Formats: sequence, C-alpha cells, structure tokens
Amino acid sequence: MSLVVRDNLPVLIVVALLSSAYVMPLLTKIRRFRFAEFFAVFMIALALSGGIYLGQGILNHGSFTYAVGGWAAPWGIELSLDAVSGFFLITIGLVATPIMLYASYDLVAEVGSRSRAAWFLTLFLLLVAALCGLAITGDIFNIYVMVEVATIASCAIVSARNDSASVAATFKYLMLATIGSGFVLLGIGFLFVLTGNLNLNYIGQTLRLTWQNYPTALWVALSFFTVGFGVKSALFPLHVWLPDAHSTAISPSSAILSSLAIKGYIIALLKIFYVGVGAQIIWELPITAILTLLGMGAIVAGALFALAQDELKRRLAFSTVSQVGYIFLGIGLGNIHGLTGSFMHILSHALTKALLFLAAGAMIKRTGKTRISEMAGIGFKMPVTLGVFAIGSLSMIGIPLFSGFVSKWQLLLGALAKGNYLAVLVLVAGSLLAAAYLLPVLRTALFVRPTPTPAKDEAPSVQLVAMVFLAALVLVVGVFPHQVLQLAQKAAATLLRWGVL
Amino acid sequence: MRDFVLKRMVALVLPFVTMLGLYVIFHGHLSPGGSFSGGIITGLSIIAFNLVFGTERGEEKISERLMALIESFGALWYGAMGLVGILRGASFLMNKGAGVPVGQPGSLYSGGLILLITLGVGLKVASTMVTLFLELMEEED
Repeated sequence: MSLVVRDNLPVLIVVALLSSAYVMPLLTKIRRFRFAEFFAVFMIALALSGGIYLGQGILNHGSFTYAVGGWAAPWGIELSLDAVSGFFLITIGLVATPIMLYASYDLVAEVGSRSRAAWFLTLFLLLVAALCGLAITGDIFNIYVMVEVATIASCAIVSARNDSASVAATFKYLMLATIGSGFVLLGIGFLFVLTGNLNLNYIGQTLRLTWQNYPTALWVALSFFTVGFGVKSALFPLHVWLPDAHSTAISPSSAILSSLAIKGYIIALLKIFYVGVGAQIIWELPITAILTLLGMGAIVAGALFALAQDELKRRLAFSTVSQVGYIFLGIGLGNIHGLTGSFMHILSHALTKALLFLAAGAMIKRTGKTRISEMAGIGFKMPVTLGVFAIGSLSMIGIPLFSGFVSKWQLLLGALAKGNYLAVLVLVAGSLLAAAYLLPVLRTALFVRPTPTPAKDEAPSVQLVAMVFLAALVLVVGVFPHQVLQLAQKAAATLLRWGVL
Repeated sequence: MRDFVLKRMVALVLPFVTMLGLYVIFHGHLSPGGSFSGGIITGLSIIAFNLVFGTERGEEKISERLMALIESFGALWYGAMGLVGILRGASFLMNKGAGVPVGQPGSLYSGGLILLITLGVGLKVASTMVTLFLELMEEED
C-alpha cells in the first residue's frame, strides 16, 4: 500500500488537495465548524509533507516522469518531477501550512459567516492544489488549466470578506488576470501551431531543429507569454491590480497571494522558456534583455511606490512588486547564479512576505490601526509579533544571516558574472530602498513610546506559532543555506541544461 | 390563471428536456456532446422550472443544499474514479490498462470508466449551472 502511495505521490498530492476542497462546502452544517478548519489544516500539511518528501527524493535520486492515465509522453499528460518542481513543492509546503494554521484561528469571524468560511477554505485548497499542479506539470495545456484554476481561486479569495473595497479590487484583478490568461492562451496556441506538441520536452526538441524557419512567430509567442504571465505575477508596468487586491484582502489571503500565487506563474514562465523553448534559443532572442530591464524597473519603481504609502498593508503590497523584480532580473540574467538567485528569492520572498503580512494582520487586528504613523508603541504591546516582523524586515532588506541575503548574494554574483554593472547598482539600491520603507515601521513601533506605555496584549497563540515557525525558517535558511541552495542550484542547472542538450 | 399556456407547455416539455440532457451525458463517448453539453441541458431544465414556477416551488423540488451536495459529489466522484487505476496497481485515471472491462465497441457500455466519469462531470456541471442561476436570483432581492 505504501509503495502504491509512493509511486503515485505526484498526482495524489493534487488529487488530495482538490478532493478536500470539494469536501469543505459539505461541512458548513456540521455542529463544530472547528473540525472543518482542522481538516483543512491537516490535509494541507499532509499533502505538502508529501511534496517535501518528493522534493527530497528528487534531490537525492534525480528527476522522473509520471504518465497520467498510463498514456506516454507525446499523447498523454506527463507530470515531470525535476528539481524545479521539487524546489517549488518544498516552498509551497513550508509556506502554505503556517498560513492555513494562522487563518484557521478566527476564520468565521474574519469573513462573516460559516458558509463564507467554508468557501474560503475551498478556494484556499484549490489555490494550493493548482500551485502544486503548476509545479509538477510537464504539459503546456495542463499549465493553462492550472493557471486558470489558480487565477479564479486567487481572485475569489481576495473578496473573502465581501466589503466594497475588496470587491472592487477583485473586479479589477479579475479583468486584468483574464486579459493575462488570454495572452497566455494565445502563446500556447502559437507554440502548438509551430511544433504540433503540447508536451514541453517535445516542444523543446522540435523547436531546436526548426526554430530558425520562423523566428518571428516564436518571438511573438514568447512576447505573449511574457505579457500574460507578467500581468499575473505583477511585473512592474503591469502590476496595477496588485496593490489594491493584496492590501484589501484579509491577511491570510494577502499572505498566500503575495508569497505563493504570483510565484506559480513565474514557475510556469520558467518552464515554458527554458524547458519548452530552451536556453540557447532564449539567448538568441532579445527576451532576456527585456526581462532584465523590466526587472530593474520593477525593483526601483516598486520600492519608490512603497515609500510613498502610509498604510502598512499597502506598503507591503508595493514591496511585493519590487521583490518580483528581483526574480525577473535573475531570469533575465539567465546564467547559473542569476537563476539560482531567482529560485532562492522565490523561496525567501515567499517565507518573508508571508511572515510580514501575517504579522501586519495580527497588529492591525489587535490595535485596529492600519497606518504606519499611528503604530507608535506597538512593540511594547505585542513584542513577539513585532519581533517576527523585524526578522521579516531584515530578511527583506537582505541583511546577512537572514534568508533574503542568500538570494540577493546569488543575484549579485549573477550580475557580476554577466558584467552588468547597472544591475549591480540596482540590486544595492533596491536593498537600500527596502531599508527605507521597512525600517520606519520598526522605528515607530519600538522607539516612539506613547504615554502611558500600553499593556502587553499579544496575538493569539495559534497565530504566534505560525508566525514564529516562518520566522525560524527565515533564520534557518539564512544561517544554514547549504541544502536549500544546493537544490536551487540543481533547479537552475536543470533549466540551463535543456538548452545544451 | 396567468401564464397557463406557459406552465402547461413547460410541464409537458421538461421531462423530455431532462431526458435529452441525460441522453447526451450517457452517450458522451459515442456521439457528439458529452458531460458538459449534457450537464448544461439537464441544468437548464431545472432552471426553466425555477423561472416558470418560481424559485419557491423549485426549492421544494430540489433544494439549494441538495444542489451543493451534488456539486461536491460530482467532483469527488471524478477523483474516486481516478483512484480506481491507482488501486489496481496502475497509474491515475488509467482505464483499460488497469484491467477495467471496456465492453463491446459502439454499444452504450463501451468506454470502461469513461461513462462513470462523464456521469460525475455531468452532475457537477448541471448543479453548478443551477447554483449560479439561484445565486443571481438572490442578488436581485
């Protein structure tokens, strides 16, 4: 039996999450709703420990494929389990579980009613299932289906509370995300017409032989993917939906959207660019230069926008725009260090931003104050919450011994190896700007002491456990980055190898 | 006695519409159509009943709660059918290769698990259509 589970683990992870998503609406009428929340936490933890197990297996024994329905690669849907999938599965596992645990504490009160809470759990599980699907799929149309599931789920999860601001933000997000989906689908159509395949490996093999016959068409397809996934993952000039959506949603929604949902689309983009098209072809076209420029623009512009915000969650949302720029910069650099940096930043930003949003949510919930200028003395009221917020801030800035440093160091190495000194400058400037928009929060909370000093009033212990877990991970990745870095390097090498083969 | 003609006509036609929907679902592997189109036809028959006789009568026939149950059941049914392949030692969603009898080609039972999977998807689509409709009706009040 255990052998059966192990052999089919990739598909079982997604199926378990999808099935438990559909069980949730049935649980609205049971007497103790805590059971439904506990079940959701349990299923996510179970499925994602499966994901972490898979990731470790890939690190130790190499990649493998799984044919859904027993139909082999060019015809059937193939799940391809390589270091990229393993890395993202581990990221999802480490981040989604604490967020779910945090959300389960006062979900019904937060979203209004039991049935809304049940739908929130459904959407959350659907989103995580779709992200796992994006991590493991090796089929371009399967990517599209998972992207759609993730998009619809993340749009709906924004409006979990059903107040007018979040519904307006959801509508904006839905419209732009749909346009993004349209671009992605057009790109997929182009690739299918050019190669006659939906499987990424086969697309790659065909393109390597024939792409010089139609470079313009391929260039158009890649532009569609860049714009489509760029809208969905909030690449700088296309980010307009993100600040509203991520700042008006309830904190667990903001955390999962900012930390994981937008990364799923980046993983899809990486898979299509490097596995589907291949590194050598990508380097022939000007796409990497454009991604580098967009990434640098995003780092600076996102940080400048963040500086201008006084509302804490809005500032964090704009900080996401800036941090997504780092990931795209790494993709644009396109060498082993750049891609390793991108993967590391996917993990470290996921941990850090989830931590920051959850801590901000706890502070806003306890004090009712959303603006940074009103947050004087919160450090005395909620020392642990502010402590983990400080850890998140330092990691986001890129101080050594925190996880953000590891990824930014790799990006710096990548920029230096490429001889792109403008990128080096932007990376340093981005860190300074991050310090400029995150440290004032700490200063106001710690050093502006209101009279009388507020009494201690900590966040609920379940939520504290979730936040401390994330903060500990930030520190562990920062102090002992060896294993994670190795997996990230393996993932980057996997992507680059496809161009050489 | 307003709408007498409409109500009589719908009462006469509806059973046949539902039958057509189920027919399309069950013959999805043999003829054009399938679970999506069949499910929508089945769902439309329930929507038509709600439109003509009012949502209160509709709620008496099939409640929203039951619709939600059917919706979840359809999705779970699909997953369960996929697990058949795994339980028989083959891969997810495997059909003939997992030793499921596939029957005589061209007859109603000729696709192995596909008929059962289609049934689940059809139920899901039908109930989703009705749920969406009822949700929109509630918005108006």
